[in-house]
Amino acid sequence: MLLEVLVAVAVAASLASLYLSLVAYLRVMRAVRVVRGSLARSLGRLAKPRRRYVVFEVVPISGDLGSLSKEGLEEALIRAYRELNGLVGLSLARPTLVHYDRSRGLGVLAVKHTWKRQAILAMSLVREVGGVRVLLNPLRTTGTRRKALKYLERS
Amino acid sequence: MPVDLCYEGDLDQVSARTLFKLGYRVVASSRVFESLELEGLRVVPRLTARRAELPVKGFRGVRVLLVESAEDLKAYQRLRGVVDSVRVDYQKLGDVGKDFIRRLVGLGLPVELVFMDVVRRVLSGSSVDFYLLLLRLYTRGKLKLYLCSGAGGVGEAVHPEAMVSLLTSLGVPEPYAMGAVYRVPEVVLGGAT
Repeated sequence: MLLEVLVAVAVAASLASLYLSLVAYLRVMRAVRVVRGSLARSLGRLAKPRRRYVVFEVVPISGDLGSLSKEGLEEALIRAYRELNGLVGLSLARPTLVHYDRSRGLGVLAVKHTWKRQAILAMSLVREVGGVRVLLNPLRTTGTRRKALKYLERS
Repeated sequence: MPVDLCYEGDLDQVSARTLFKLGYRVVASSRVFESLELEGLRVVPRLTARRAELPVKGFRGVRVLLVESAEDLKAYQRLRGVVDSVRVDYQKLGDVGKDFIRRLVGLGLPVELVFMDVVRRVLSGSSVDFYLLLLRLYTRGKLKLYLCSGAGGVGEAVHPEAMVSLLTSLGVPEPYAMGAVYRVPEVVLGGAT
């Protein structure tokens, strides 16, 4: 009987010590992560560039949407982007019009994730494409091209 | 709720539909004299007045004081309750001194920044130091600030996300930029109407 009690106490004590050491380990790891993160931020660590796909809609103000070509739209987008961010910004962001549905006026612009905001700003500067006055209306940003195209199908 | 507090263009069914498509639900325009609804878009009157023209009586809408010189903010305590926000004409103002900033902060009213003005200055390579100063004061919580399109027509309208992008490009953290585009205009509108 006494032996059983002692075994139970030993098991409980070992479980408690395991729990405490696990908690301590997690706390230390969290502190290390926080310190590492703040150090990385202060050192200005480069983020791994990932692609983002900005789904947008072309809203015609005057003129026919059908006369708008993918090449013309891409050129206008790149011109606006270059005007705003320069050649360095352009080569870092590499904005590319990966898809354009001429009939519905919906497109997908691929850009590096760190330059997504600049790409949206450049979109707002595109006012005319091939003699057609337009507005580019960003609808959604996705992480993959497939999701972007799926969103286009649904909308 | 996206609100554009300084839409300067004409408003008809087509432009209202386009603005609605861009995400706006309320627009303040100086071309209307009473609140109305067009294609689901609420339009409220807006008045931009100089200091000498204040106070404006019997006006129900957004009242904005146009500051053209440092003198316009003299005795600023009297402006509380008379106007809803302040727009600074940077070109006419010239040099901005500490005194002017102190008065602007002491006034406690939101400062209106016009997207088109900022973009025009950026694209022409002009200085945006004054805007940066205002944005720094905003991020430190010293003053309230909001961004509006200043579009002269539906062709110049801007998506709210583009306005957020402009502020983040100028170095404002994203939550603050969102606040200046979405939250502060709503508060101004709530206080005005």
